[in-house]
Amino acid sequence: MKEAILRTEDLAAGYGGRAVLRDVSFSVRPGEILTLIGPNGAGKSTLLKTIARQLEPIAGTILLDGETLSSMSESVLAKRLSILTTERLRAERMSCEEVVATGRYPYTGRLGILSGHDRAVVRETMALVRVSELREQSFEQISDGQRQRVMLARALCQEPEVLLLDEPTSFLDVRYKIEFLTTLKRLAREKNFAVVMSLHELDCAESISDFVLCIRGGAVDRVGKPEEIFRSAYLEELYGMEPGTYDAFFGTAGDQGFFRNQHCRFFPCHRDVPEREFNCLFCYCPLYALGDRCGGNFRYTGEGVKSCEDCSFPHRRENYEKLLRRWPEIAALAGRRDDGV
Amino acid sequence: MEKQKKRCLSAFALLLALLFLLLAANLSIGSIRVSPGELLEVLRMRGETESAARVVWTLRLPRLLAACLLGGALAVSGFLLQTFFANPIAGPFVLGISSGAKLTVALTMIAALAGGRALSSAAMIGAAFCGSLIAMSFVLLISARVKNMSLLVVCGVMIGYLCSAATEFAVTFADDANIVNLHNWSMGSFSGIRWANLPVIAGVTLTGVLLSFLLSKPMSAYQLGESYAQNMGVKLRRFRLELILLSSLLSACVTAFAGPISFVGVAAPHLMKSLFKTAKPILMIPACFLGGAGFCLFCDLLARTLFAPTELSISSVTAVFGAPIVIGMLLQRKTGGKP
Repeated sequence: MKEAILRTEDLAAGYGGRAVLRDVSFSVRPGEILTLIGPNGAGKSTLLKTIARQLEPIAGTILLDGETLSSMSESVLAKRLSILTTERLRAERMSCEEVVATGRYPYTGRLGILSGHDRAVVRETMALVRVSELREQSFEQISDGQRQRVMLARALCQEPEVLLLDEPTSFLDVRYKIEFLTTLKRLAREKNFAVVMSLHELDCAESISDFVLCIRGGAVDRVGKPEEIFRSAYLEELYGMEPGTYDAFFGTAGDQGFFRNQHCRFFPCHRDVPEREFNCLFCYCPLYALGDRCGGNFRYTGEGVKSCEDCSFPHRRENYEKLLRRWPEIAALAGRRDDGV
Repeated sequence: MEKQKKRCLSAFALLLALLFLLLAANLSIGSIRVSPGELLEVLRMRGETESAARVVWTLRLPRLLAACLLGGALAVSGFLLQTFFANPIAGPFVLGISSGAKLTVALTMIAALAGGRALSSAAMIGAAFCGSLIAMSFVLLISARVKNMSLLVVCGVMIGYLCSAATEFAVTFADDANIVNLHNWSMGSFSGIRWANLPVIAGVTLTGVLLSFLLSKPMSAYQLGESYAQNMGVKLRRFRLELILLSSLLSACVTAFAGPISFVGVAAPHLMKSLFKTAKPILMIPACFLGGAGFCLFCDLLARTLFAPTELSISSVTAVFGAPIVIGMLLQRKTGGKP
């Protein structure tokens, strides 16, 4: 049995000293994929940001190959851990190859000039992720699916031991989702790096993960192999559904960009959902992962769940059905630049 | 990669050739025309020739060298701010930073003149640097509150107006004898620069540009976005501070000697990005320096000669060429053209 490369011990994560998530303990071995699932605002992104050291842990420790993360220098950490976030990568006048090459940054000298070896790694990684033919293309002009794969190549160019991905399949259509996740799984095995990612597509989480970690109510609710999590009455319990409804939605959910629970008593129009129930995974707001960039006004509820007040897109609860119909358009809008002007 | 290398080399060659032409033109054109042969003579004799050619040595040469250095500094300062705010229309003039520097320099000048002392070059830069930093901190305070970049630019323009109004106010009540001088300067002009100022100008701008160049690696990471930069090992807090200090220092140096000069900080980097077809800092910083230098030389030539003997303020000439470029950039972004 291989040793764990990433381990957390009683980790508490949150913002400004206030923990959103407590007592998170898990470990991942090289080549394994650990997927975080849970409702909106459960703290999946917060946990990933804490592991990426963008947030200070509120309590507990994170160990990378037995060494505490907080004791590592920035440049050492950059060679061991890479990220793919929902933050849109700005790539002014950059070709795909140049974007991928930025992953070599931690390995270059004072001025960041690539060596012959760096160039070889870039070419090789692009071939592995199958984006070689995009080399000369402008990063701004490729499709969403291609963009995520280029971003994956960029992250892998850092030659990480741990790769963190936050909702990597948001805004991808089903075909791209599957393609992306299969590539990820293949490379994790081949290159022997550990993956920790958040997903809101349960069907994808089931097929790709080695382990699934369910987050609910500010804590880890359960960790296990996908077959333990998904082939039981557990999900029904997790989301408070009536027994027997699980199989029914499970089969069809793949053709939507996100889940919907046809057996929800508020389906399809989510009018009248009490606010405290609005953090059900099936009320997933597809724009949620965009954070501040979703385009509307929102506030956080007492439980730290983002609740929409007014929205530039019709994804208020009463408009949920319209949102489903406008999905392709919204995905395209989300791909625009966000800095106005 | 090969194609890109060729493009960069030819672009740099083009820039240098243009710069050389502009330098020669700036030396020979003016109220007294000097032929290329005479020019060489003047340069060789270091101004020890007959009175006509002395003009070239004592007035034109320091002026054009200053236009080069300060123009370059302004363009680099603009590029740093654009990187910082991730917005191609950010610049020291647009964000009101030049006007902040103008205000403090004017106040310091008036105070010094009232006390009957002349200000040293270093003191001028110091005053301008303080003003830049004050205006910059206002911009940063606003940017923490408003995420929308267009709004930030509008706020910057307003800060600029406020500072300009305060400067005008101070100038109006300044001592009569010095008003003319101060007024010229507050409109922006390279005319007041003498040989004595040049060592300080060269020292500050060249150091600033060199330090910026050394930051080009973290800058290229920062261009991708904050969390990516952080993940690649950039110490964000420190890096941001370095960017702010350097861009303020560079634009402060310009304002201290030539007053506020509009739009060079936005137009020159934009032209360079289009010429080189890249935004890589390692190329852009030298390119912006050369481009800004050329832009200012060209505009100063026009400012001096168009309505000679009346001289235009440099800022009005740079605005004529720079503002349309900025408007074009805004329109391109609005219509969803290539960002």
